[in-house]
Amino acid sequence: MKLSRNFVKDYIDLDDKLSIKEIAETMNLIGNKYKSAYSLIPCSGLVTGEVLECSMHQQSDHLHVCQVDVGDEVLQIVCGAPNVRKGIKVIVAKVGSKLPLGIIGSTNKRGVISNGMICSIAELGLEHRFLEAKDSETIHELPLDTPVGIDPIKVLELDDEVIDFDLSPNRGDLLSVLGLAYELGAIYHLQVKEPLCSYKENDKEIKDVFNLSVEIEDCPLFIVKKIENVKIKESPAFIKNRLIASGIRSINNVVDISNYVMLETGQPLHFYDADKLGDTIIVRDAKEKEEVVTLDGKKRILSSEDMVIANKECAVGLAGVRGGLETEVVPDTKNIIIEVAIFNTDRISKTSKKILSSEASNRFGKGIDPIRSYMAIEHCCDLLQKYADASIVKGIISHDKTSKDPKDIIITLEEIRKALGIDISKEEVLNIFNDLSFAVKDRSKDIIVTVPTRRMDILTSLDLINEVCRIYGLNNINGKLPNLSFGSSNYNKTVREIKNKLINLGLNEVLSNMIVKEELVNKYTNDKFEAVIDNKNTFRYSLLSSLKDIYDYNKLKGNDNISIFELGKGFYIDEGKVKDEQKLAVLMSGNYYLGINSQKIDFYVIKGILEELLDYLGYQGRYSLKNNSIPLEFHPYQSANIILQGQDVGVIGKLHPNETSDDVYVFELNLRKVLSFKVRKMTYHDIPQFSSIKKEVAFIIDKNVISSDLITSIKKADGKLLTNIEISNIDSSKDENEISFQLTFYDPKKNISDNEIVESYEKITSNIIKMFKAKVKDK
Amino acid sequence: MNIDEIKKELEKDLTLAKNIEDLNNLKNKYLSKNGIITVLYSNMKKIPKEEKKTFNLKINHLKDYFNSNYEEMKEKFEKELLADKLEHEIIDISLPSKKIKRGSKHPITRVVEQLEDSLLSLGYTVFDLDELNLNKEDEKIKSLVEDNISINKKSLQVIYPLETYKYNEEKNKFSQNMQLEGLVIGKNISLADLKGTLELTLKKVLGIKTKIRFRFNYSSLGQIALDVDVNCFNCATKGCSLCNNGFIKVADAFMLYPSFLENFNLDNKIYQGFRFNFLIDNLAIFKYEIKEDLRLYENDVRFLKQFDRKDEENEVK
Ligand SMILES: [Zn+2]
Repeated sequence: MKLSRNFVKDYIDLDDKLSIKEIAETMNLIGNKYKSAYSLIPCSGLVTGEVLECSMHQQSDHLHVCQVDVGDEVLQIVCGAPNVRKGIKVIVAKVGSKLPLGIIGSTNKRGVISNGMICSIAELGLEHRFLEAKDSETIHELPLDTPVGIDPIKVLELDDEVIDFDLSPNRGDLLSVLGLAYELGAIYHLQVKEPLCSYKENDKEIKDVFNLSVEIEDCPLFIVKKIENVKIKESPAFIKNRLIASGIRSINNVVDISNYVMLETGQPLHFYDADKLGDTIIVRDAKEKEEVVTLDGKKRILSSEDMVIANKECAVGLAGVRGGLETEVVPDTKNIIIEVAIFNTDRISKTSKKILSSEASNRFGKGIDPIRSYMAIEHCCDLLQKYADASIVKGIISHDKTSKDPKDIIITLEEIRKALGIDISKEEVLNIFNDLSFAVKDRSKDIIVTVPTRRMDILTSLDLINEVCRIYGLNNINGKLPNLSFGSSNYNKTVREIKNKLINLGLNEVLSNMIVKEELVNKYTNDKFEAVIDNKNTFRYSLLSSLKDIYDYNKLKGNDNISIFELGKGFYIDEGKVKDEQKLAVLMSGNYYLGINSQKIDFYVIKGILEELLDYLGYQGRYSLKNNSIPLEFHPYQSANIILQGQDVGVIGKLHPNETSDDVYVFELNLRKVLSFKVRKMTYHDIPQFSSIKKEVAFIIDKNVISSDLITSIKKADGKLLTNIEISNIDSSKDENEISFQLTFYDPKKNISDNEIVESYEKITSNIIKMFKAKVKDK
Repeated sequence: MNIDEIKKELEKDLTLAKNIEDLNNLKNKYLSKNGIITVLYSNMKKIPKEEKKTFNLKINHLKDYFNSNYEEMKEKFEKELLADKLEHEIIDISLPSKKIKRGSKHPITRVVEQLEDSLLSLGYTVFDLDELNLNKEDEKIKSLVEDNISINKKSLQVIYPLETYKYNEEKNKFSQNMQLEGLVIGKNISLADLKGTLELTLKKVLGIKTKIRFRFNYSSLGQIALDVDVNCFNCATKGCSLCNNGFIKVADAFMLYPSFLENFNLDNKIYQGFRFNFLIDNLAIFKYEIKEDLRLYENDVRFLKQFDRKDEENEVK
């Protein structure tokens, strides 16, 4: 709903000092949202001028050099319009004025200085659909009696401002200028003046010339009025311009008046050419496959769910939605039948959803106040007489089953205070209802509020509390905290701790899309599961599909060093229900920075991240990597399953060259599974009292022997004094691997002797030599 | 040479000594096996008995004289040597440091954690609605209330993060949104309590000077529904692509319908409550002045890496 400021000023004395944005925001704060608030003509610096002289430009066959009197000065302006000539009154944009096309500067046009511009209507910024061809082809000529040096926008009566509202569906009453006037009145404490009518009727009685038959219950109100001898012509400027501001194109005075009254009252009206319609209107359900050609020239095929307006022969309109072409008001129409009706909101909504929606169906779909229906007829007749010289047939024919009694709702001050948490006084409450133009009766123990019929949204005292809240103003309520005594607050810290740990390890957290391409959902996992698909959208199972996307995106942007993680959910269906599982995925590629060194990321870097995390979570020594069943997307010889206490909890490794040509390393943990393992209590172990002894040993060994087997065997061979084994170097440049270990020996009871170490060392080496056919490298 | 001559020579030698090496040479000259002073002692035999005592005394004096000078000068030379060494170790302290890289936390996570912390301090409990394994949010809320409202405990103060997604027909893709919802049920709860809760929490996260605006909103979800706006940082409230006529919506909320409470056998004359919903994406956009909302879920590492420091603390009374 677009509200014209000039239009609403007919009903309410809005302060001219208020900017349109201020008004819009004030309405916004009480629940009436808006899309934008703007001046109808977004220009500044325009003045009226008179072309004193007009001569051809020496260097051009179409440009004219004009001397234009703009009141306080005479400007030389070069103008290319075909209709520019001496003596006409024009719209002048002086140097520095703002137009939609930009700021006007002083220009040199083929050797002649031009200080400004003479404007066409199109250059003022009206929407294209409101323009005629001449508006853009020629400069606009103002009436010859226009004074020079004044604001041409005022002369054109286009000095209007607009608020484009985006209203709540329950406030059908606001789809009218009057409805919005009542809202503004409530905010600014202003009285609303409803339109006064003063038309005269002729001697004919409508009952003698017309018949109405309403055959259905879903049309509770139908009023017919007859108008004779209308003169169809151009609308007066105020009607035309207010329609433009409201977003409706001007057609002619009669059609414009029907739209004008609809905007004013919210009641859609329909005009029939009485001579084409005949003397009868029947309101009935449409027949199956019944056809009607609507005003837009389209043939509509109806069903019995739709309602039609018919004459004796056939349907002449789609009730509440659109009139028919056959009975349309055209330039030579003389006599008119006016229809004002109310239809069942649900049926209109259904039909308009199915066939087409219109300004009328939108309003019918939200409900009409029957008092406004009568007001619409009255004001319509008044305007038709004033601006179309109409002669009005006496009386109306009406079918009226509506109730016009306002509702009484009882409310107490206590109820309002309790709900809002404020010490509002009774006087303030009564003032608010008064501002809303609701009648009140103060009965000391409670208040009876009489809600006008236009406010169909107010049904109970809860709705009245809403009204008090709106007008009192949310921003005038002092906030406090609930007075509640609760137990301890609580949250799951582990998720945060994991994130912090990974961040401390130099990784960046990402949040990615839970929806993945359908073909990706089975990737990066060997699990068998049913994917969650909603509306053709597939929810991810493995987070790695999201991380790979992010990797590709970053790669495309030239980011080479990527160390990212996501802690999120993977989805699947179990026994018909959507289940989710918390997962953690890490992806690393390029260089890894931690501390002062940067290092090319390889399997061992990401393995280090995994181990650091699992150790941090308390699972030190309880997990291992095994190459059991690696998903196809992983490098078959640089990947492993992550085994925690015998359970597969994830996968780690390099992505397969089919996935990416880069070295990309990832791991994914099923965090729910991981965290289901209990963690041992963290206790203190006394620091060593005796010194330990370190010894180096290097084996030359077959390349197929894996280091973890070697370490296990070394541990087994001694087991007593050997407290730590570390791989200090691996040289795989020759036919056989050369692996160096640093062995740490320690006895918690005494200082260890050289003999004991020699003994241990001998045991270890002879064992390894025997088991793996290894050689000990001499030092 | 007699002792006096030796002493004279020694004095002269000492003045000539310039470093520890010279000093050690002197030690060698005077006190080694064949050193001048050592030799004097061995000459003792030739000295007549009655002179022996004074002769011995004189040599001792001479030796002491040497030793004390030696120690004093040695200390001095060592100091000079160290000072000299340190001077040669001068470095350019203005050269760049060896950088230690930090990881970063996603701005969405940061805002969620800060809201949670603020609400935890007010006694809220964080729930994970997804743990309930139900598909519809309303059902989840219902079972959340059912599980926590009992004969003994008729109040509730919970929050739960919600990842929502909706289809955007204009852009032909899903847009993801992060929300943090809250639910409070208790005795005598009013709109003022809701307002205060939102104000305090938002100011804690966004800073005490943040202008917060409450806007009435018609909603079918509850009674007295409202939206919460902050002023757009990008356009001085003139209106831009990030905001709605100069304002950014950061939360919405409503008071519970009395009928909602009746569902759980709570007397709606006594019990009231409210629900609120923080729009995390918009809060992050406002808090960190992210001028391109696309960036939030794009996960460009150049974007992510900027969120690598601690947030400032916002004091709120
Ligand atoms: Zn903005």
